Amino acid sequence: MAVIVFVLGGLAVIGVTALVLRQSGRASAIATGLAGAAGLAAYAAIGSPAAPDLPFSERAAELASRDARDLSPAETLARLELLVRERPDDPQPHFFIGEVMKAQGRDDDAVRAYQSALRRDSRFAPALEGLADALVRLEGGRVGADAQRVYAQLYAEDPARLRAGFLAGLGLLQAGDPDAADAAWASMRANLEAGDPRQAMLDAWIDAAKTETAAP
Amino acid sequence: MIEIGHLAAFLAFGFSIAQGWTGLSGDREAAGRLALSAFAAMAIAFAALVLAFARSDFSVELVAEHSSTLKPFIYKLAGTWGNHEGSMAMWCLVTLGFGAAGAAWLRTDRQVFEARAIGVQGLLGVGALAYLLFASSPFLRLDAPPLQGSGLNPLLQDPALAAHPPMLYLGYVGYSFVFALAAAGLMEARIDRDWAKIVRPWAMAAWVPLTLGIALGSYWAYYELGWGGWWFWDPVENASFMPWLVGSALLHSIIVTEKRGGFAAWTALLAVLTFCFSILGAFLVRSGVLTSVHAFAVDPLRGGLLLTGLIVYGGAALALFAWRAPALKGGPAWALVSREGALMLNNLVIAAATATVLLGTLFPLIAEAAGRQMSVGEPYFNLTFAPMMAALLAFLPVVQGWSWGKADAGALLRWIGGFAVLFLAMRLLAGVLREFPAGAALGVALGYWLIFGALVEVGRRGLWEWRAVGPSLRRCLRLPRRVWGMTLAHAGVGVFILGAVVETTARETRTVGLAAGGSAVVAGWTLTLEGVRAIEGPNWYADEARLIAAKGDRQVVLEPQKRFYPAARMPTTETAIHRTGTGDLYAAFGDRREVDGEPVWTFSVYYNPWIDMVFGGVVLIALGGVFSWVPRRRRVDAPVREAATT
Repeated sequence: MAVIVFVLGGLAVIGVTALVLRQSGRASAIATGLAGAAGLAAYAAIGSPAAPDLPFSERAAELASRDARDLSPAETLARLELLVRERPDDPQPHFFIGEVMKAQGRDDDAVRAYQSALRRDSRFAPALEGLADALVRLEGGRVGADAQRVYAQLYAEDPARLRAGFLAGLGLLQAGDPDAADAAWASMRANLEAGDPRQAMLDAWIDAAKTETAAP
Repeated sequence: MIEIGHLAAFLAFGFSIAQGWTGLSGDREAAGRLALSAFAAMAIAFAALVLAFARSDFSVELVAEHSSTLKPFIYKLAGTWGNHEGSMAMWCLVTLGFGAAGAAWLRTDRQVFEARAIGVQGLLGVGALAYLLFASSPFLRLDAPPLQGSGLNPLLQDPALAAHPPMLYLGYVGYSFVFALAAAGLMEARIDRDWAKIVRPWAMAAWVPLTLGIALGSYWAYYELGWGGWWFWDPVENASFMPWLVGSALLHSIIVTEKRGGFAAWTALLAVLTFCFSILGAFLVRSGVLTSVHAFAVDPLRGGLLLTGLIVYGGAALALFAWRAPALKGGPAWALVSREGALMLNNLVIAAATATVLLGTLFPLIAEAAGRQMSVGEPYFNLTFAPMMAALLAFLPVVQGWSWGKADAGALLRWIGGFAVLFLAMRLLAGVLREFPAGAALGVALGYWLIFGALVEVGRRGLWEWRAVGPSLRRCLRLPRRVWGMTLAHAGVGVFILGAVVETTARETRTVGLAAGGSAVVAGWTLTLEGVRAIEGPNWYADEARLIAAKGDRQVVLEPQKRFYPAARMPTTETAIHRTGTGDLYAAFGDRREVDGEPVWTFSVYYNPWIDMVFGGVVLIALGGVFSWVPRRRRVDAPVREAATT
């Protein structure tokens, strides 16, 4: 690469010098040759003649050929962004971008990625859960109104998601509406069959939430 | 390819040195060939840089810092010059391009003059390339390139802004060749009619793109920044406006030199000053002394180098002028009441107006250096710049018909009387229609006055006769393009003034907070917020409001956005504008807040009357420049030939 660069540069200087020599005096040709050579020398001192071009398409092809488990977070993100362009209607790459953002502690970016996934499939449960969790983290652990709505939607669509239902109720409790919270949790209990072991777990969560909320 | 580009830039540097040397030695052929070679090398360098941006080659540091794979392709390309280093590369390309254009098209019978002009242009290229390659290189490489870049400043991801820098640079740097021609003329102590004929198209070639470049920047500010206005007397705007003003004075001064051989020293000085103001503009914008979206370079070293360049080139130019100007020949004598007198007045007022803009631009910097914070805004310019220019423009229709050497002063009083009547009519009409300040009525009268004056001048030159409309019209249409260029430009100034005065005086503004379903009334339009939804683009996310605007039986939808660009981590405002034909209904999306648990969004809503005339007027001015630029057409009518001397 370096040889090609310098050969091309040398040929250019010789060519222009010859052009000047043909039409003008020797002094002008010498000045041209010297100035051109000075340009070449300055490039040799400052440039990186051996460094090849590195277009993103080549790097993307290399990324695509590798095992996803061997990729660094930055490489995973780059590959997911490629997938977004290849499959513009698929919510999954956006969801996984959200997961990468979450892992990097970039919750505001994670929220935007989960929202992008939900624009493609408004009932995509992993994205709904990721979105609500990220909103809670952004609120410093508090279940705000937006997160509460998302948890409620998640539970409504899949009553097996007990954690979502509980957190939707917690949101109501933290918003200062204990009656609504109790009603939501009562409804959840009613949905569980008698003897369901998750009943005790839910009660424990509710007790802990009430204790924590009542604490000064 | 990027390394070949880097090498090519160094070769362009070497060839420019040789171009300077051979040119100043008087070797026209060698200087010309070297100018073409240097431009070809720089074109390869710039193309390599564009290719690196197009292919998202993040091994190039500049690409990693100012691009991303997610950007639309057009903005990947525009990203090449949307930063300090890339824009300086474009500066070099245009500098060398003008040198090459000079080498190709400058054909006079004065070989040494041509050689020197090309040589001076070569030296200007050497300075620009030295700064590019040794202090602001866009070709630096990264050992460990990232997989994603930081993205282009979102404010610059806009079609108008993609075209704004190239146009502005064609203007700024175009004046470097005008300067080179002035320097070559000064070296020979020959600034005469022939020189003016040579320089005029080059001055026009710089002035037209500079006009359009400023207009594009203004139009962008209007619809992108969400402030409703189109000119803010921002120091960066002023930095481009000052060379335009002096360049306009230069165009008028060249006319005197071309037609009468007069104003030689003054024209040469204006050519030097226009170039100095161009470098000053580059220094102000690029040095980091100003805080602005344009202030890419905040490195004191680079600022110092630019200042050194300004002092060296500006100082050398002024020294050359001081040395050679006394040897220039003066033109024939002229009376104060003459075309020359009027054009000298024009030049002096524009020079004084430029000085007030310069003072208003630099004063805050000087105050800051002295430890005081001070800002100079619109009121200062309204009190200084505007009255001077208004007085000058009021005389324009009167004096453009004056003869060379000595004119009849008798018509002056009649014209002044005419303007006074027009002003009083506007004042009365404004008072009846709405509460218009006297200054605004004066401005409106001035706008109509200029349009009327431009038409009258065409009629006068076309020997208009109301009894023979057809032949008169044909004669007018056959007038030289220069006359039509002048007419369009002067009428354009009138249209611009009308738009500017009415828009700034009668603009209606309101900031409203709306919940979904809420309404507000602005300028007779009822705006109802239908809702806000989250949307996304290739490299941005946005909240988009849907506002239904209704007036009478008309109903339109406005969809302003608040965007967020994750790569640059920057929000932007995307305004929604409905053009009514007589004005713009303009909405900008503000912040969201909670009121009683309900989300409420803030909107800045404006009604900007006659705003299209502001931009349309500038386009007319530029079009006038284009008409004047086109080579003169052969005239056929004998009567016209008599009357149509410019």
